Amino acid sequence: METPLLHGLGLHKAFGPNQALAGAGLTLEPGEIVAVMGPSGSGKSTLLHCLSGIVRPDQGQVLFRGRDLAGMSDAERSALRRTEFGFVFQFGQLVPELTCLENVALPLRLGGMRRRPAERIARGWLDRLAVGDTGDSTPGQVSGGQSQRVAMARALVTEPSVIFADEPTGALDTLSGELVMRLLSEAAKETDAAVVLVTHEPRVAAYSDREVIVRDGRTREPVVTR
Amino acid sequence: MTGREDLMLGFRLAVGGGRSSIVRLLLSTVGIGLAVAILLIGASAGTIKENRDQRTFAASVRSEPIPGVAPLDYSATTTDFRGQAISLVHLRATGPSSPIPPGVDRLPAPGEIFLSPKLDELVASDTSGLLRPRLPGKPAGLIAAETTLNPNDLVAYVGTDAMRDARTVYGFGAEPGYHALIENGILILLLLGLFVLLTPVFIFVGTVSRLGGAARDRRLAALRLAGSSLAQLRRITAAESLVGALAGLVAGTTLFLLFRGAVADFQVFRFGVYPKDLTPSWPLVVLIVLAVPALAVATAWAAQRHTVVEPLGVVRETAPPKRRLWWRLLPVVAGILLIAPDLGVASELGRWALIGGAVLLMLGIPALLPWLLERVVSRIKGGPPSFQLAIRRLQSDSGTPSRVVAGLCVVLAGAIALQSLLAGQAAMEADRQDETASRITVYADGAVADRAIAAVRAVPGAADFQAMRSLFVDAIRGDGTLVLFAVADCATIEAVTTATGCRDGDVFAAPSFLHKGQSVKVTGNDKREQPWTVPVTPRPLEAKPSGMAESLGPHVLATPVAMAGADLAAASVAVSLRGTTGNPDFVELVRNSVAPYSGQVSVAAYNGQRASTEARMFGDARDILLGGALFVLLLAGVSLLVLAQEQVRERRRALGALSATGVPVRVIVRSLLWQNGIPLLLGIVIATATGIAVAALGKRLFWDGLYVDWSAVVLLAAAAVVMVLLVTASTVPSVRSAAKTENLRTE
Amino acid sequence: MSIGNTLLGLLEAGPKHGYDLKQLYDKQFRQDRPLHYGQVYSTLNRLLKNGLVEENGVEAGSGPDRKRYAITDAGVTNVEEWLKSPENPSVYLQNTLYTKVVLALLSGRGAQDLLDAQRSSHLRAMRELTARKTDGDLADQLICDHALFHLEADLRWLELTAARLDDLARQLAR
Repeated sequence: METPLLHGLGLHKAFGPNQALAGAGLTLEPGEIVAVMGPSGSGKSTLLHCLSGIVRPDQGQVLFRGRDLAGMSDAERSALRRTEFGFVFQFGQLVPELTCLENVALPLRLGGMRRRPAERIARGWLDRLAVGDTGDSTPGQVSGGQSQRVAMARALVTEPSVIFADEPTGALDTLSGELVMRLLSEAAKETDAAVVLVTHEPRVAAYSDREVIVRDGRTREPVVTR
Repeated sequence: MTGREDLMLGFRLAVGGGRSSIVRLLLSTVGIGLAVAILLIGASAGTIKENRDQRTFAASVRSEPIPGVAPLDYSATTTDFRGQAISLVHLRATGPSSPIPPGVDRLPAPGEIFLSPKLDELVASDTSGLLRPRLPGKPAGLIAAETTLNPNDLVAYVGTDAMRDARTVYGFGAEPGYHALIENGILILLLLGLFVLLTPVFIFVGTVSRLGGAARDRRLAALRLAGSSLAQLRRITAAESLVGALAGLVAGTTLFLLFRGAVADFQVFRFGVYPKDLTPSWPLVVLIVLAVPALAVATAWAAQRHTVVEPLGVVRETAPPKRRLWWRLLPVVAGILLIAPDLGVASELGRWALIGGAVLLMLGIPALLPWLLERVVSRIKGGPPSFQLAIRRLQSDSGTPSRVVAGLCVVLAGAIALQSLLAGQAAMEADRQDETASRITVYADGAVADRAIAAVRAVPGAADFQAMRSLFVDAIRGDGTLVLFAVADCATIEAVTTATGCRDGDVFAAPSFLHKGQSVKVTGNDKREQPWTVPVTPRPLEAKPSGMAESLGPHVLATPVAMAGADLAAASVAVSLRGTTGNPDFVELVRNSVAPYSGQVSVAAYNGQRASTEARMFGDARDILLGGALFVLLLAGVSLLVLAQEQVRERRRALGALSATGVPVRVIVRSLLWQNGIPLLLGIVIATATGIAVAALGKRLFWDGLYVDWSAVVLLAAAAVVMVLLVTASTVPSVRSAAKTENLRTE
Repeated sequence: MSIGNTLLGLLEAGPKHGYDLKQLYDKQFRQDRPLHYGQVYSTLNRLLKNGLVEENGVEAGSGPDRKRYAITDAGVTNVEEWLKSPENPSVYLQNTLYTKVVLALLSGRGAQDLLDAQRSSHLRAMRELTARKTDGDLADQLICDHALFHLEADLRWLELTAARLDDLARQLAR
């Protein structure tokens, strides 16, 4: 069996007295969309943060393409966030002072690309996600749905292997949410990116290929019956 | 990854960000600009001193004979016109090779006069016509600009035939015999003043850099999420702060150049500065240009040291490390260590130790205040709700308000210290003035005495004359000491002593001093001795307070008849008179009347209404200082205002929630008042203590006794309090709008 | 809705008279419309014939209401299977779900497994609907959205109910 794309095993993480993860784990194959579901406070977001290297677990391992994230330096993990991982959060992910176009081009520029080619690629993604006209506005000037699509464009601009989405439709109305999820799954299929989708909404989870339940810091793979 | 791209990103973030980041950039440019301007002025201190020394050198005289040079007769006197001192340099050449004073290309011939540019202006603008007669001679030209020690100095070179106390001079350009103590004292005060100005400016800059903290945290988190490494982040924040620093450098240099152009019009005490004096030394300029941006970047990085920027947001350490006391005491301790051993003011080392010590003492305020505030606040419990709110807020974050207040308080301390030092000096002057109130005394050399007295008597409105001719007599102590021997008529004697029933022929002296028939030697100004026998038994001599007898202090008063046979031609005369016309320029009329004899006559006016030049200048200096302190208070006030507005903006949601639960707006406002007021109160106490401590330096520096200018203390403290009130009041509209429960709506 | 399974579930706790069984059923599940006696007895007979229950003593006096019924091992297995296997997602299946949850709690099993199993099944159905919606035209979208919303409502309600009853069970256990 070839190594899975992303493999988290036996993850424990405590924040003060609060034990967020108590032996959670998740395996991700290339190209698949996995929904991480569970009640609030169950540790879903923490699992996502551990898997993406944003938070270091107290115990356990996270392997990306076989490499242990814990062994990487901050520079390497930052590089990972720029090139292999993309993030779509519920809010607070775009730089308010930059325009939408500059925000989308940011990972590319941080990776060393010159401004013009980076913005050209960024514009392409903005158009593909139907927010091409927001390029010159700042995130504060566009609607919630639009800014989420801008965030998605930024997540996709480096053609990542894994997209981490944490309640991407949480702050959106129903129709915008539908649009965002459709675009996300389409873009993921198109770029062959795997998606870790944290949500508590079944209709959002319906866009996934399979789900993982998180409860009290532990994960359960779905029960296969009949 | 290219560092250049990161820097470009940082620049972009610094300037694009909407109104709030533009405001921040503007404020930090202003702050840094001010600091740079002040630093550049300070860096010019060396040039100022050098140039002044050079001018003093050029004007000082050489008395040793130089072969081939004809000596020059030289006598410098001062006169006073409406409170301004005019220096009259009387010159008489004895030959074609006589030395020429600086600023002119030839000596004034007798009857000619050269004026300094400022004096020339003054004469031209004087509509009363009272000044011109004071300057004896025909104007023959101007003394070159930038020759006089201070730009506003009023100096005239007078060519004359008759001189008193003339020195023989062979050249110009010599080491002055002494370095005026006051000169060094002024430099010290200047540097102290600059430092006092600088501290709040620094703190202002620091405050401004914390502006928009929450937004910046979010921005940094978003950058981290997008994949920037910590090193990249550092470069980006460096670039952000560089923008402000560079803009500040430009602004500051411009400000400095503007100030330089206008500086010639200012004068503190007698200390004035030419534009070309304000040239900072090149090494220091380079240092400033390099240090300011470096400091800006270092500050930005240091502000991040307690935070960890992670993609999820900025994590502050859960409890900020408890403030340590020991390093905060270091400046105070170091300051005391520098001051305690009395190294004296004469040596360079001693001066720098004094300045350093005072500076360190004042640095102690921003060091101690946060710790003290934290300690005080942590012990307080209870109180009305507004008080509680404020205390809790201070307990959770006392750093920012204490920093701003600390800046305010350094200014307070510095202003209190300087005011007290100046008040001390002024008080000394006042002591000396309290004599012969509203009387004018004219002193004339023996040669012109009669003519001078006649001229003075002719001044309309002059009355109430008391006249004394002065000689010297052996004090009979065996060591050759001479004491004053005065000759006066009975009218004068009865006016200035407690004696009554004076008859011409009386002699007054301490009985133990002279007795009838004693033979003494009486000496005149020309050093000629005459024998004189005491003709009668001397009556006791008791001077009336604030009379001429008390001010001149003769040991013997003799009536003219008792001096029959003595030659009084060489005796100098002191005539005291009063003006009866009520004309405020009466003293000028008197001065003008004796102007022809200006080399040999001087006029002293101790007028209660018009303080002497010195005291008035001290008064001016105090006003300037007060103005400066108030200006800086304003600066600190702007910081506080900006901070307060920022705070209201950041806590918008919390305030909305507070008001939704029924807390009235006035309680919130009152809590803001407490929040700013408590640190301020603490700061005022510390500042006053420090200010008085530094003023105690005055004992060491200039004189004995500790003068504390309480009126200045109260004024400045009141100004600070008023400012806090104003700042809090100005945030009321923002608080009102923030407290509207609409703010609870999520977007 | 399967009454037989429900009666089996109620019998799992212990043998009961037919009469008591009906009362219990009515109390738990049918407060407004009580079950018909005939229905109870005919169901019990069927269960008896299938070997899922057995007779467990008779009281004096004949009549089906005097018979006592007890669950057999086969019956217990049947109940387990029934509780474990998720219902086919259909619209308006909350009665069955509710019944299952109550029985699970009454018999000391937690409701979480039930919940997880049902959720998986629902999600499978929802995935199909979503796929159809994505490729379909407007009419398809409307129909699929409708179904999706109802399925989601089921799940949400199920979660909330399970949580409430779990809470209650915990309190009673103290």
